[in-house]
Amino acid sequence: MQALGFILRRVLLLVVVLFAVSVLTFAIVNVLPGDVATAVLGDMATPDQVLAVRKTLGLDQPLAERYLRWLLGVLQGDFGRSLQHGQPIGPILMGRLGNSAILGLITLAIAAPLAVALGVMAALKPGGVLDRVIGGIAVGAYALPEYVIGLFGILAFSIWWPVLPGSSLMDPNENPLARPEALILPIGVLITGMLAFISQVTRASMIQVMGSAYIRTAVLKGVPRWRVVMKHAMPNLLPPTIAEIGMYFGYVIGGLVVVETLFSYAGLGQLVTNAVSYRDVPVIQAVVLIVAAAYGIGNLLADVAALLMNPRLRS
Amino acid sequence: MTLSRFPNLILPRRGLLGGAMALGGAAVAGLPTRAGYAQSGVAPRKGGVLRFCRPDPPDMLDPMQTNSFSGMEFGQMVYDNLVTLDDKAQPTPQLATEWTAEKGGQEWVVTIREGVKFHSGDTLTSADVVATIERSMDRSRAGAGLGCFGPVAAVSAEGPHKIRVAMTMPFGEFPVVLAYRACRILPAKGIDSLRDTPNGTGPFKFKDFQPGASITMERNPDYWNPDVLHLDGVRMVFIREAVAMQAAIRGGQVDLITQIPLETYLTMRNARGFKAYSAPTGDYHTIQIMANMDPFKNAKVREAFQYIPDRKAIVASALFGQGVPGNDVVLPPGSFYLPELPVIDQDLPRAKKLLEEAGVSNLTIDAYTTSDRQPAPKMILAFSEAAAKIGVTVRVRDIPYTEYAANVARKMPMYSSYFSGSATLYDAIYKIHHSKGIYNYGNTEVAPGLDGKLDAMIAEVDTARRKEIAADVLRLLQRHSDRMVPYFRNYVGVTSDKVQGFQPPKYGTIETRGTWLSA
Repeated sequence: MQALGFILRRVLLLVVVLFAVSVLTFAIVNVLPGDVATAVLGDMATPDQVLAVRKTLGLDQPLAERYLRWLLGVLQGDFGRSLQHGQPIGPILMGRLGNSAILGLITLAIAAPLAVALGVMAALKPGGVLDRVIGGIAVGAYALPEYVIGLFGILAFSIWWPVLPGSSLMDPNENPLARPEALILPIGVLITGMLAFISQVTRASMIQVMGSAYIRTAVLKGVPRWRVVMKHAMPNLLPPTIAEIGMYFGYVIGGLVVVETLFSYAGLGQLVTNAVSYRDVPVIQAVVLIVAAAYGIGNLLADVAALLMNPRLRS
Repeated sequence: MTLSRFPNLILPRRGLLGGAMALGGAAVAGLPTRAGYAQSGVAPRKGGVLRFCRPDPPDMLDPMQTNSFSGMEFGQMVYDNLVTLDDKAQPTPQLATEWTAEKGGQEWVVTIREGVKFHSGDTLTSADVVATIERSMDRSRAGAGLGCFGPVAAVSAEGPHKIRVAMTMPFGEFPVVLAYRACRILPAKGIDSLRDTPNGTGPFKFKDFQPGASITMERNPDYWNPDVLHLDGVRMVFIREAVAMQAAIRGGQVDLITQIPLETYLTMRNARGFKAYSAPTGDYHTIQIMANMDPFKNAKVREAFQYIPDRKAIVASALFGQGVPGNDVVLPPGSFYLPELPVIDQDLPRAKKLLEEAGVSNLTIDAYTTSDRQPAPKMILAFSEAAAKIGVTVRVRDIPYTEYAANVARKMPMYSSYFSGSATLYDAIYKIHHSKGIYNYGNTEVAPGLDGKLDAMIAEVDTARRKEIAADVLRLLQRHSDRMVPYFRNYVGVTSDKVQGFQPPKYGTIETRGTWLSA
């Protein structure tokens, strides 16, 4: 019952956070220099042309009024229409969300267990060869921006040794899974970054757990090493690791701006890049809301998982 | 492949001025020949989808309102103009079959082709053309296409397939202006909904738009001129990163990459299996030195700045040689109307002396540019380095385009800007330099009497006389203009070998009529 109360409180908090995010996003985007009228008309436009387009698009209305109209629409499930191209945002969003989710969830499904395994292996013999190799690669991968890793991937596998497509161009409504080869490079880049971070978090937690008194007791009792790790250490290792993975959930749903733009992958990240270029506020609002919700839900799921795994938290 | 230099940019309108305009006779009639479209000498193969890759997605799909080249190229495929230009920049029929000047070019009568259908199934009539031209005159609806049909006073239908256009002044270039990229013919029905419901008469029908990612178009089976339509469709895709673009064409994911960085062109120009194009255009960058703002209100400061940049060095460093030095007039070398002009070259002692005479020798100024319009920042940087040698501090401010468009253009005294080549003196000079011209950023008459000369230039119907006036105008502008033109840049692009009939665009947008794919 207490657990249910905890979850309900978190859901309520998520709603408050989403509201705050929408207000902040709206304010920030409107404070930025330029708007969709100047972005579309460009530097050659006369001031009265800009004013005319602003009026046509309703940008001459007070900010509060525009926000409230948008909010009322969202509460009724209507994200409005793009200021840039006039299309309804909802259907675009759904397609893009699906594409990003495919990219992100595949990444998560591969990277999360692999990172945990690498972290555990590195922690079993701290300072050993395996630990140093994994640590060295992880630090290097973490230090390099996704953009650089992606560019290197394109150069290496699409130009110097052309075995993979350098972009993930998709036909409209095409299932990204229909051409898995086009997903390999972007997923590879994402996995590299994620492996680096989660493996090092896991390693640190594992070293701490392995130094605990109860683990020493188990070892001294002659429990086999694999059993010590799997049965005694892992349950204590997983909650912080899962919390980290939960944070990545939001990221892989909507935070793939660099990777999606670099590989021309038609996901939320690419959509928001385009929307920011043209100050398309309703699209930016919608994407940011989805991403914030994904982060919130990821966190919530991680907390629930931690709750289920830890009897002390349950009580 | 490098094409011949400056083929007929800004040409006289021989046919229309010599015959149709002065005498009121008909210009050209019948189906357009394919002279204006790409030819390769081999029977074109029908079929295939051209995958066409650009770095920038369109700002919008309304062909009159769009300000992006991707939007304009979309318009080129989905819509038709009344005329198109042949390889000598002469107007040839598209949706218009005849055009006749009356009252010495003060009025024009245009006959509209019969039997043409919009993609919606509606038949093209004069009402559509009237609605299109009227929209271009409406400040609240025209967007970037405001005034694109020239100095129009009124337009009216004379029957279902004829219109009459009254100009505010005699306007000899009217038939050529009709080919301008913003002058696509739109349907009267739904004319203000084209942003999300494209509907033209062009060779390709809009099928799908993924914002920021792609536009898909399919063959229009009812196209009125099937001879020039060889492809089953066109798919425009947008790849922002140059390396990814290069990988896409090398990997066979796209057939054509355009508006590519010069570095990509240089990398690919000798690659096997591809055709790389570097062709002269009238496209140029400017350094705006606003005559309505200090310190450039002083003509001596403007003149001094003209002697600061080393134009040849800028062409070599910023354009890697893929262009030619500019001479501070907006027509590229080789243009019909371009007179002999003194060559403006770097002369730092002279610049310094002029600044001293103007009393601003220790000048510090911000020069705004944007990396979203390459290679303008390199041009500004080169200018800054040269200026430093005579004690002028030019601080380079590189800012995102959206901010630049909102807060810099027309508002700051010094910044870079970009213009594409135009086929008419009206677009190339009048709109830019007349104090009431839409692109005269300072709304300033930079030299006494310039407005009058510009009006006379546009109104003049005799080619030889117009050339004389244009020469006079260009001499004045070279000495007094508030924009420097350090270079004209080439168009650069790459196609795979199977793309046939492709021609580098002269006026900004690629023509897919006549393009086909070999097996």
